[in-house]
Amino acid sequence: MKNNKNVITSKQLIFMIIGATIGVGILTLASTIARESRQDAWISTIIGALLPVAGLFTINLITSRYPDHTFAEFSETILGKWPGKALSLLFILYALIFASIVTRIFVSILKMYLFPMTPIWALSALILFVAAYLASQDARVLARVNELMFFEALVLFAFLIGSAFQIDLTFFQPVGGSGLLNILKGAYHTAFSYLGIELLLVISPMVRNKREIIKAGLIAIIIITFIYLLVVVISTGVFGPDVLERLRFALMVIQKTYTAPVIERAEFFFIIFWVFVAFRPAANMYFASRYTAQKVLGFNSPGILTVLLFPLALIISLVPRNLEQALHYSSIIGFFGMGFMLMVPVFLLLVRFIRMSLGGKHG
Amino acid sequence: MVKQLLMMVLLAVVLTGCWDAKDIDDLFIPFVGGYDLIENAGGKKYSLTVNFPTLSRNAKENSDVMVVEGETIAATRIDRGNKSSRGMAIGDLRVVLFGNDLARRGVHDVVDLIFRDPRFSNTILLAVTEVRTTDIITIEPHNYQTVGQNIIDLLRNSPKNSFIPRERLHLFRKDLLTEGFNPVLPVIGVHGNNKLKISGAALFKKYKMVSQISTDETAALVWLRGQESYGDVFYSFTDQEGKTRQITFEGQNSRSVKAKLVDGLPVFEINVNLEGYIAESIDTMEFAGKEENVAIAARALEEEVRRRCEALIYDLQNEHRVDAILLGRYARAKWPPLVQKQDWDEVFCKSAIKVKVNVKIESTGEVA
Amino acid sequence: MLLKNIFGKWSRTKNEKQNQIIKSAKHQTTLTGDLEKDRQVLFHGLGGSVDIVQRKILIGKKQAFLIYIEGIVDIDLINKEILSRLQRLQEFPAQTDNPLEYIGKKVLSSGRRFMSNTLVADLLVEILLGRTVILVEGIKEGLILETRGGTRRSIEEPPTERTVRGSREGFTEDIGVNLASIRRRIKSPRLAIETLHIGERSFTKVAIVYISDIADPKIVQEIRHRISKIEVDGILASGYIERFIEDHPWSLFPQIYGTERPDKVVANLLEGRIAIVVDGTPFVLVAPAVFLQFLQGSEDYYERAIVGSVARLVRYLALMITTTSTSVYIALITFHHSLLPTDLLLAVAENREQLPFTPLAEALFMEVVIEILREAGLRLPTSVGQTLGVVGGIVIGQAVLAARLVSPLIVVTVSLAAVSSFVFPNYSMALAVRLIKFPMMILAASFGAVGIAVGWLLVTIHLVSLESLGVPYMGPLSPMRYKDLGDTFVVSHIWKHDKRPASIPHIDKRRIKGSPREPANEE
Repeated sequence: MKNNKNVITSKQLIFMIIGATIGVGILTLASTIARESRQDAWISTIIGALLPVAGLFTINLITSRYPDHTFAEFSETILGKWPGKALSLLFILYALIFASIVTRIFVSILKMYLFPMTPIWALSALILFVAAYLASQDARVLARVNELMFFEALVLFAFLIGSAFQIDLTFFQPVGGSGLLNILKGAYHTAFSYLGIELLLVISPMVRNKREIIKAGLIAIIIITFIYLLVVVISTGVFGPDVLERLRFALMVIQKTYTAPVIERAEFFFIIFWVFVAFRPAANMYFASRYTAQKVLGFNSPGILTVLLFPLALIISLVPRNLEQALHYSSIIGFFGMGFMLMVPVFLLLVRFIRMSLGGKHG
Repeated sequence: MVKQLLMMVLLAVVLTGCWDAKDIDDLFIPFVGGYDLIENAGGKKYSLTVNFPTLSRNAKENSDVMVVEGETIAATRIDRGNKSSRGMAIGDLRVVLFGNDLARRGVHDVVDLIFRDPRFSNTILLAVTEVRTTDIITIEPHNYQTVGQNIIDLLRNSPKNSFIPRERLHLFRKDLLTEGFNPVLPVIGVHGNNKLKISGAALFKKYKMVSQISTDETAALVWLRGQESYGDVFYSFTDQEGKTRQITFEGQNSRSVKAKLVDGLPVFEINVNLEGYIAESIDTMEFAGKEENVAIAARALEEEVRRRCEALIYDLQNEHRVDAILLGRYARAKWPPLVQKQDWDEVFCKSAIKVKVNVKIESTGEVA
Repeated sequence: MLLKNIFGKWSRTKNEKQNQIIKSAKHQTTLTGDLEKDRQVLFHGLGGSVDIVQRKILIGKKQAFLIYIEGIVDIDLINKEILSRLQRLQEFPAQTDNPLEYIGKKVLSSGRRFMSNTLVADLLVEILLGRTVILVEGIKEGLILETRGGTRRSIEEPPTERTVRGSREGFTEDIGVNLASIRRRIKSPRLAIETLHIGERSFTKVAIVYISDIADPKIVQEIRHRISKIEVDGILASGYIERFIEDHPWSLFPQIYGTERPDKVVANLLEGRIAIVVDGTPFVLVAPAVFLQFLQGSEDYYERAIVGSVARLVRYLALMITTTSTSVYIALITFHHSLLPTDLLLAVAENREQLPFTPLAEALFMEVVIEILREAGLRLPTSVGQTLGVVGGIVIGQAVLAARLVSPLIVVTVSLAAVSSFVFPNYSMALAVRLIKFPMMILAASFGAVGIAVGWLLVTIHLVSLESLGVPYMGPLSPMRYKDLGDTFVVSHIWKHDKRPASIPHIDKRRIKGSPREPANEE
């Protein structure tokens, strides 16, 4: 029964990937892309989805060879004990920094909209506490919360639909007018919003039906792309590219543009539901960090590790001086993410191949 | 053990908290803010006039006005900090007024603050005042606690009852920033001693107010701009029998536009649709069982609306020289270079614009 | 595994335990046949209390005596049936070698349980349970007569769980009656009832009831295992058992469903759950329980589906109101004024002007007043309780307003929250849920809407992490059982429930095998 705690179904895997991916990025996404590809932001969004698809397949290359081992375990098997541990340590740090920086961006936006006087550390501690509480649970609970929150977060998109009637279709014309180069540049900027699938390195051994990992991953990416597309299309349609590129948090501003019947301002409700969405990447990455650390140290106490990582996460979240710097850091983290998504699996496979062929010769 | 530790952290965070908690009774609730430009020998200054209800039961007046000044709009906050006994709940601001002088000089310096501060709602209604905003905001209305509520009701409800432009902050920003678009704001004036009214519309070329048009022209502007409103149209015509008929039509408008390019210049065909009923017909025309009479009344209205629209377009193209009717929307979708590389308003003045009106009279009321 | 850890804490002794009442050296003592000696042994074995009745009688010229405990026996039965018949017996027939057997089989009428036993310990247990023991001179056996009785509360409508449409029957303190009212509703040989005795001193009878071809045997085994591990001196209420066997003792939420209604228990048995009936408590435990079950009333299904759905939705709404309305008030007043429509904002601001307390302080004050009123009303006789409610609610409320201590809005909010907390069909859940609002209020006072969101997140994560006997507590929402959702937020038609809910483990899936509403495929 002990294994049961860390077993998830492939359906839950879909929600975990979505949970790790969609977070704070969704607020800035539309304007960031629009700065490059203007009215064709939606095309960039679709092209950007190729990154997680590529990541899914590369990660699967390595995890399918070690179906019952997590990242920390197979990197030790392939690279040897200490180099493997070093790589895992890098991953632990990456995941923890990811969680902290995401929290920081989240908190900065909250501070800007609601809490001009509340210190960052208090807000960070509050959000990280929720993330840590979830990360201290086992994978099964994490998956269930992700699943439940996905449906709760659908309310968020009901808010979007509320503003959909303001869409002006002429803002999408002329289609393709911004040029292929700009569209590709826009797609490059989406990449950071599509990070999160590297979680698969850690959780793929927990999936009950291993053959469905690829299918679940693809479904998750389709849902993510659809949600991003919805956000980008509605933002472009409501604001037009000229306004959109001058906005910071387009999705939030959309909520301020209309008055619902009883609710004078929709953005506050939006923020509540957004909290449900935005804490998930932090929690999932915190979990990935905690779980990998557990495997590396061979120290089987989720609670204590979570508590040990908490001050570290809190301090990292306080490092950026302002929102700009936090966003800058997040793009640096993004490169590491892409590394873990694309390069590390290939690298591990190569080493494995070389080792095996050498071993074969010796044998 | 672990949970307890985490709980302690949360408690520490929460119990030392309440940084941003502000009780309502420590705040002024400004519903309306007015920006003015004050020019004198020393240079230019901005002033902000806010009107807010005084909530204390012991207060003698039930509303108060505060005028603060500064080099920029945000700088007026420094002055406010000194003059005000309470904080300002900026999120509750529902209307922003621009003084006539300021609007004519250009609102560029004013709007940055409104766009930047996240506390401002984007549903804030905007208007230009005929005089300085201070003169409007210091009026003491009889039927409202504050003049602010009066202005809010005026701007909110008027577009539902007559053809008056309604510009929320979100639309204003869209019109300002999008190439080929120009904002239009309603103008608030004073009538009688201390009563407010909408006295026309202010045409803007981007940030700068170009001119003010009358209420009659404003209706035509609303029809042409395609902002869906509801209102009354009065018109008279002479029928075949030589009788003069005076009819008031009440209904809703909408528009559709066909655009094409002929010899490098745009040609627009604007379809103005009106749908409604006859509210009044002096010297009663018989409508019951007489479909042709309804048709005659509709044709006459079409003629009237077309005449007024064409007159406005002529003025726009020749006098105001600004595209206030959002034709740039089609231009930027179809011929981006015309909007991006040239001054669209100039192209607009050279464009050929045809107006087609389509009136649909749904009913003629209880009189046969 | 977690369960094992919990068991580890319980298993202080690993010995098999049966009747722990007398674990002394006397355990193996048998009757001697010497009447006076045996009488002494029994009398002292029972502690020599004054309520022990020993009656010397002559049965067919042989010395004999009866021993029973006053109050827990049916005294009419003993006097009219047993004593009179025994005294009418003139003489034992000559060929009788065992007079006790003769008494049991011939003298006393059939239909009562007779047993003979020689172990003193066993006899003592029977006497303590309310049975009567007869000893006869020279015979090393005692005859046990079924005489349990005494005055008990009759079957009444359960005061905490009233329904309009459903059965009016409630459980009583008597386990026999309770088991019978379950049995009366399920006339199936598959209804399994297992009994144990828990409590070294109280020796309370506990029955595990389930339907053997529906309930998951693993869960039955789990419950049996957990209950048999309980070694405590006394079980006074089913709540004791609940405390011992629940998975998460530190959680706020009840993980086992307690009800006074036999029809609810039966409905749960039919879904594959297991009932635990404890002697001396009208509350029967049902496990495993899921969170949403506590918000669903049995009468949801007794009325038409649409009516039931509305009632259920109202309950979910009440859950939201009772937990968050006060904190929403605090958040609105201190953080998000601009959310309120203009007119309401003015009204609120006018009310709040010149009040001495912060919104958090006034909300806490009012909530505490309500809690005190609730607790006071609970302890008082019904009529006084009602008066107190009126006095507390109206007089204090009015006075507090008149003294301008709190704003009228908080009175409205807090009373709404209090009224909403009475909507829950389950008492323990109603008690638990209302406690959530206090931390929620503090969070709202510090972080406004974000605080409320964080509060809900923490509650959700906690609820999702809970399990009731290994069954996820938030089922069917988490893990999502898409097939069960149709009957979760709304009530679906009873004839549509052709499968048992997947959230509760069971072995027989089909519930409806045919109905007049079968989809008309034949056409």
